[in-house]
Amino acid sequence: MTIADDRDIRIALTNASLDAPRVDLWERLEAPVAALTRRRRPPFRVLRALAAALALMLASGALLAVFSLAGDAPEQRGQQLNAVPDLVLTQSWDERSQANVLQGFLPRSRQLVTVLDGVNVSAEPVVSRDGRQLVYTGWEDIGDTRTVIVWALDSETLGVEWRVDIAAESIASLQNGPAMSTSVAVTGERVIVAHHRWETAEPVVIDQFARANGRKLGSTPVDFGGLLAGNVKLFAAPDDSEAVLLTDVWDVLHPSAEQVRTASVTFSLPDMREVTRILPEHPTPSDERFYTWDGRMTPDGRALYQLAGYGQGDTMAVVFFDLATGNVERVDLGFDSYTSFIYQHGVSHDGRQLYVLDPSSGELAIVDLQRRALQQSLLIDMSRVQASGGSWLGRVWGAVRGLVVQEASAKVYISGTLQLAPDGSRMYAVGVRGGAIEGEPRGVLVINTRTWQVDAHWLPDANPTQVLLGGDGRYLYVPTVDWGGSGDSALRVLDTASGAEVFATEGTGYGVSYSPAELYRATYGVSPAIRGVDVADLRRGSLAGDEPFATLSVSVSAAALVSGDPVTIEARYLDPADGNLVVEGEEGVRFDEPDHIRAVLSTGGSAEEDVTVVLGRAGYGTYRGATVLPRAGAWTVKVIAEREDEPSRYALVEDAVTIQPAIFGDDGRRYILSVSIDPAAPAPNQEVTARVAVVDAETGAPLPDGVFFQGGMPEHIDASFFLQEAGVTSRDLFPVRHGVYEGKVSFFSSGTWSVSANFPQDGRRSGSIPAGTVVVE
Amino acid sequence: MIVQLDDERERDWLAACRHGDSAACARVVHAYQDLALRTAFLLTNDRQAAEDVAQNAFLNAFRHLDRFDLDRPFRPWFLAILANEARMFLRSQRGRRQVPLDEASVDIRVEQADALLSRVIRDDERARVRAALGTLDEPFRTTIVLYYFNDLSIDEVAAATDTSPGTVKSRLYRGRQELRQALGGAEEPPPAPARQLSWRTSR
Repeated sequence: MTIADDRDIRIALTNASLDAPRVDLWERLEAPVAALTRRRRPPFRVLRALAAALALMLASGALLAVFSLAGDAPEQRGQQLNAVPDLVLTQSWDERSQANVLQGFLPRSRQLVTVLDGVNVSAEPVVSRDGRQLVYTGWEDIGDTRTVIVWALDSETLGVEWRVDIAAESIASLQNGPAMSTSVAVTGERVIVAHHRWETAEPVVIDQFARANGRKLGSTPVDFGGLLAGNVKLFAAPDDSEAVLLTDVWDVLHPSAEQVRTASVTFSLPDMREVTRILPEHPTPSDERFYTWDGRMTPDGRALYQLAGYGQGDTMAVVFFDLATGNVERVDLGFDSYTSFIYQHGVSHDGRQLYVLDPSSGELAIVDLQRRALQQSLLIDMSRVQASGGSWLGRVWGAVRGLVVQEASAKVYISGTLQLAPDGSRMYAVGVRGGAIEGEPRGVLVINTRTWQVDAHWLPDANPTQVLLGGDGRYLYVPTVDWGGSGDSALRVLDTASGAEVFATEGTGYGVSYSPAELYRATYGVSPAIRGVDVADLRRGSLAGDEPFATLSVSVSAAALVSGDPVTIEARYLDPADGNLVVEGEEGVRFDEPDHIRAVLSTGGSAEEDVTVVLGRAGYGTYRGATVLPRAGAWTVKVIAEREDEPSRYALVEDAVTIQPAIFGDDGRRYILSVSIDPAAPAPNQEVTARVAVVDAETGAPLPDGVFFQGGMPEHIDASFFLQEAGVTSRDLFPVRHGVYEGKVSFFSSGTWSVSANFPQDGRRSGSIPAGTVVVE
Repeated sequence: MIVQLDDERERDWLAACRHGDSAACARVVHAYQDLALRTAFLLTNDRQAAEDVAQNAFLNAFRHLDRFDLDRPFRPWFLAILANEARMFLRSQRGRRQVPLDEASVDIRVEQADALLSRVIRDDERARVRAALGTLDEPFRTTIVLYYFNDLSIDEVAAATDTSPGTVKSRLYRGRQELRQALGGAEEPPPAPARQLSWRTSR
């Protein structure tokens, strides 16, 4: 044929397309799409809250903030002269006032109190060396005026001791103009505040205020000779003898990263006399930058350090800024910085070592902050977390759902830090399900620092944003956001002896939490005393006469069942000390019979589709119930125990039981499908023979000759192969012998592919039936 | 048959699908699967690949449905996703040959042309057109299919292929030329001055 004009082309293409396959794609798409739509993204308000929180974190420089860990090293006890209260502070976004709200959680009273409302706190506070004061900077908008403010709070009462306004400007002028950058350092007697209008050649101003009453004591302009300055960061030396100002400067408006120079100026205190000024002649190369929006001082006061990613997402490093020379040193961690948002970090009790953990892989780097060198890299044994996936059948369904988990969790950030138990025996971190950037926060990892194993995984279905250990190490505070469901936020409190949840307060908003104790250690490199708690004499279990709560555990009668089989759910209360069932009259463990206890079984769909089973008492500390689950799929079991005088407890096992659709033979027995490939471990794009065999559900024996499906044997099987991240491919498999179907297929990516089958039966489609997984290397 | 949906009904289905209504998703698949399979078949000239490309396009579309503006037509958006799936498939095929990237397109085209030439002799007209289409480099093939078969406007093709309307026009011109050559026709005369071109710029 020849093509004369556009019409000819259209006709030719239309005709050529007529030989396209004619299949019902929905039969193959039904399972993955159902999983996809079941777990749609969290509601819009969560995304808004996330955006607000992210903006808050960016504003506060908290993304790469390095906090310290609790510790009670004997050598530090002499330094713990100053005490801070045991409380948790949370900065979050209030939808109502469209402003940040600062709340304090007082563990003893179990109360959440509003500290500052309707104002915008721009950064985490600085805690004074005596622990008595928390100093915040922020701003308040009234009418057309934005006022930049410093607040000093009494750390015990959280009352505002004084407030000073350090600058005011028209909001209208801020729309496209410069904003204010502020930074605070606190010495024994003074609050020192550096502030500067972003990207202007105006001098950076350093004001000093009396800590006692906020009276202004002096003001020092710092001029950079016409250069434009950006962010400012102020540090006080450990002995209060000097203050260091760090800032970015450049020659032109709106510079590129390659045009920025990092300047530092050191002043003697309290006279604010300039001692040294380091201003590089040339712009600082991006891989030698020390970012001025973040940083901590090393315990010896000789350098600043921060955690940063370099290159095109390929290098995570701890970066040191030498205060004497202005030189930048990088200690590469060997981590991929694409995943930096899920990294967690913290400082050892003596302030000398920085731990950095990738919770998705278990990689842990330990950096010596004094020597500025990588001390050790090790791999934490995560098998306890990773092995919780259940049977292969569960993984098949999990893989299908994984298509969605990845999407739903693509932009979740963990802002928290590692927390070290006071006795150093444990480390707490936010767990992550899934690797790399798509990782989703899942539960709390309890890491044994002697064996470097994950000993437990608490709150396994929760999405923590961080973890915070109370001052005495007895309680772990876990802010969470229900990403996959309601989007609600909560602060949950766990007993560290058992992992039991002892308290939860909801509606905290999504934000950044911290404790004065942690801020103190971050700023001064030593652990403070905790008011009302003698950390040095702390012994686990001896506090307030409390016994640890019994641990609620749950199990099911079988991990994989065929449709129609009953499943039994058993909940047991265990002594956390030995893992044994509690016994009547036992001392040393706290167990009160629940008023009600029930199991909720879910395949991840809507709540209406969940199945609830009331568990009956089957012995002291043991509760049991059974049901026949109505649908095929992987079922998660959550047991909820309620008492009127306590918060509800629960235990959860994800994909605890998988129900496979039954295919009934005319012999009355149930049969399932089992997939295999030849060769068994092919390379990507290698053509293999895929084989789906019908086997006895109970014995695994092949379908006997002379036995047929009740609806007749299918002429072919439509097999679909799913790989999360990669996609789906389908092939028709044809019978090669009785009950065995084969076809050629190639897999376009390596990984574990899950396989399901669909075939016509009784004039209808069978629906998607899991057949197992195959591995492509 | 390629179903033409009225806008309101389509929007209702997509909205319901976005909120997890599986039946609504099924309606969308049933409405568009014929179009998807035929387009994918033209782009890949491989029946099995066409099925994979089409079903992955639906999966990706549903996965990103919350980013889709329901006030805009679904068809061009979906076809853009489908074209991208096909492009990835074709690239994976190219990678399998292990031909240096610079030589890949030439090598494949010659190889395909030889093989296809023999098929052209014995195959029917439709296969011949697909074979000719298969000799075009991917960007030209995609542009030709989206414009002539899917009836997208220049602007819509540009959006779907992440390029400019000018590039789409030049790809259409060269694609047409190559298609004619592959089918044994005469070359297209050089383009007239821009003012006299009869390109549609919008619909």
